Amino acid sequence: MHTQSAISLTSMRQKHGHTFTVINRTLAALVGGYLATASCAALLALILPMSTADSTLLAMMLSFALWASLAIYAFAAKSGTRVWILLATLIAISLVGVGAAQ
Amino acid sequence: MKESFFRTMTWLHTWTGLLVCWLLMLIFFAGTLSYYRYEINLWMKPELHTNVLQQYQDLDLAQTLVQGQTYLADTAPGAKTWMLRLPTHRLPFVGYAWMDAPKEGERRGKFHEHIVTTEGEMISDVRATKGGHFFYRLHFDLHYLPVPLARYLVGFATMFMLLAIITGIVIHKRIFKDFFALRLKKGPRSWLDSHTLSSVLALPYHLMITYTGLITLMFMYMPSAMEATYDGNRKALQKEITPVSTPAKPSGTPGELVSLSTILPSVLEQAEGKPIRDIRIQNPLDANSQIQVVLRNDSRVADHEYQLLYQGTSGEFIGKVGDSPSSMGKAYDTMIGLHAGRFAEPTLRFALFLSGVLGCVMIASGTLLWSKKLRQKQQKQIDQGARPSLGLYITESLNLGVIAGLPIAAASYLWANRLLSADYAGRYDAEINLFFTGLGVTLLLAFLGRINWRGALLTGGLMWLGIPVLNALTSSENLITNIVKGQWFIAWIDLLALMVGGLMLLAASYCKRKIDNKVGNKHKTKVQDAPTTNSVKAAESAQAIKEHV
Repeated sequence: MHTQSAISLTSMRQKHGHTFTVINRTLAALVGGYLATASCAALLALILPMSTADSTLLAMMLSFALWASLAIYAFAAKSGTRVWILLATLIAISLVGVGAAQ
Repeated sequence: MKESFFRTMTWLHTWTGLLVCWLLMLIFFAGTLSYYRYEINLWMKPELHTNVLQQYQDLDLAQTLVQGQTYLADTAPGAKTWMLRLPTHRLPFVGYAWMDAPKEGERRGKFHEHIVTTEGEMISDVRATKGGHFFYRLHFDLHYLPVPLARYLVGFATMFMLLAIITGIVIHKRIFKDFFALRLKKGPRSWLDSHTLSSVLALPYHLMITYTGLITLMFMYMPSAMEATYDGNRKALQKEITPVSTPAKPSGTPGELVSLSTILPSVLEQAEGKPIRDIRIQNPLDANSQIQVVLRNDSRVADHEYQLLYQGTSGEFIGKVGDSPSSMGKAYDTMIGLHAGRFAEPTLRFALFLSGVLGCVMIASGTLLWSKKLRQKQQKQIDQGARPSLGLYITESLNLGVIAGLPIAAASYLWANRLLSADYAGRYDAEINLFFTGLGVTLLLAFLGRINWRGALLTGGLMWLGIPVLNALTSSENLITNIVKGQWFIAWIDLLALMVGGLMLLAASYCKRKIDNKVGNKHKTKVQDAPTTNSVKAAESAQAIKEHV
């Protein structure tokens, strides 16, 4: 009886854990991934060694590939924390870069 | 997230696909039909079926231009812009068109067009219809929704599609072998095969169309780069990519336009053999008028307009608007060109159309596979009298309602075009509402359980097969006379309707056979109790599916 309830408790925790993981990773992929992509694209548009029009277009055209890769990483990474660290780093570096380049 | 990378990607593939598949189905369906946007347009205007189609080579250019100029001066002296449209592979007739000055709050004025017959007469009375443009707009603006919201929804679905394609490739181990594998009548195995086959066969197309789809609206989806470099001013960016001279502003004093025939020799020289697509005259009766000669560019993929500019009152050559000096501008034009396929000649267009159809099959077989597997899991309980789970009920109803409903809806749209009276005032919107009625009714019946696959496919198939008959009864031409006269542009929609209808009937008869087989199989299992090679094979393939999906 005791063991049975313990098992059902763990499975419940696992179930809740799974829901949390899914929401966490989905947010990371969609929201975090988009913000990181958008800031990287802004930085690339400013620093790529070509005319401003060219670098802007190129940054925009490549951005969706970057977003897709980040989204896949968000689900594939070992832990959700790692994903958020990577995304936060990307956003921070890009924003600092954008500030410096502008 | 899951135990292994492979399992995670499989999970991601299933969910990215499943969450948006019905919206994607609509987008793919509308996009695929948009390849024949102008053919559908012409089919839906039966007033233009006789003595209208022309070829550019057979045209007396000077005479057409002079006639058009005189006609527009008489008919639309107050217009903002005149347009003389010459036959192209997409619009194979001559039209004299004009645009009114925009009213307050409008971006563009109203567009009017009168068509010139091969006998030189004018057709001004054509039924109001959105024609093929409906599918084109439906493809990214949907309908009944505010345009920005619709475009964000479409972009969201497209991004999911991109993820589904990439994860689909990752989880696919034997891409070359499965290229040739289609095991029919093997339950879920067959659905998996048809999903793989339709995906892999047109994989480059799927990737191209998804990515370039995102590019077409990238200024809306990813504005950050432009914010950083141009403070979000798209016009400033555009000006650097394509240095177009600013359109002439009306001076307010009247002026006399030169006769177009006087600038024709210069146009032909500057065009270097490129055919003229149309001639636009801005502020035609003003001292500051401008003539823009737009040349055809469909021998290249990049979607870019070549223009020759002339001053309107003097006929003086101002300059050329040509290729973008920006290499990325060219890359962008090429991606847009690839997506829209405006350059495609009939054979290539048909290949693109078929790839679009394969895209629909890919989406449909994917979601059908998912619901089949879900049903398999619950089959034992269902056999014992349990009701299917809510998830299964919704998936199966949506599958039936959307997959069979879309062709039914499109057929309703075409039927409405001919059955609604040509001068009924509300017909423009009524046609479109009938499209959604067709889709809505199929969905409703599917959710109520009042229609099955066989019934829906049969209905749709008969509606499509009826389209050439309907055309013969309500147009001055029919499939045979169109073919005899070489009017393939109009005949093509009838032929397409026969193909679609035929395929739907074929699918309906397959549904019937499957029901018969199921009854037959039940008998067999009673007779053969011992595990046979067949059931071993079935177990093997079930295992293979588990690994795959």
